[in-house]
Amino acid sequence: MNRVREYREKQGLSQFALSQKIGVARQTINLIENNKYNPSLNLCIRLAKVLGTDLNGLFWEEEDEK
Amino acid sequence: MKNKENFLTKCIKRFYGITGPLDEYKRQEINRIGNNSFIICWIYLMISNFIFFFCGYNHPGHAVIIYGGVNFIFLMSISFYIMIASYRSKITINEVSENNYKNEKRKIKYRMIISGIIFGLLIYLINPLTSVVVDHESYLNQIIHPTKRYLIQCILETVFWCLFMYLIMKNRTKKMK
Repeated sequence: MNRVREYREKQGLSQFALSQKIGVARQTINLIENNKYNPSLNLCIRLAKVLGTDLNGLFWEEEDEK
Repeated sequence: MKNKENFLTKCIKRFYGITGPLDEYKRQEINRIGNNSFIICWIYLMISNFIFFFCGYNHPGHAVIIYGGVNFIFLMSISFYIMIASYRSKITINEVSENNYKNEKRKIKYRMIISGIIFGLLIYLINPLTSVVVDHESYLNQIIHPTKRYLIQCILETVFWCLFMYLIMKNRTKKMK
């Protein structure tokens, strides 16, 4: 599982607000959060920038999480 | 973040009925639906051309009429597939904020009126072609001196089409909190 939802909630953003900030549809954010869609590297970077973190923080799975 | 849309992107969005941003997920789904449609079209064209080429040798008149009809049915079927596939992948949903909802509804109405006028004009110009072919009537005469019945028919068709499209567009627009 990625941590997009966790970081988004930390920032106090709704899915819609986040989607508007990075220029995608809300459904795309929903699909990413539910691991139903693998975003491109470009979109991952945009997500990380808006959520104030890096790619490792957002998408890297720790051993114990597996 | 907004990217400028080029003409081709606008055409793609109009064809699939996408009103929000054309992001990478939507592009991926469009590519999938488009590829499936292309493969079906390619197979259909290959087989139908082969069959009607041989049929046309012995019965050219019948072959032309049947080919036209079959093409039309195929076109309707592939359009139906595209409509259902777009709906199921949720790429046609347009989510707007609560503040923007009224504005969006107004935009849909405006768009429907414009497209209704274009549709009405096209219907007005295309419908008399049937009478030209079937009843051998003059095309220009029908356009310049239309009967009352024909005018009412055109207006009704346009109104029905506008209402139908408006309901589809309104159904696709969702209010977000």
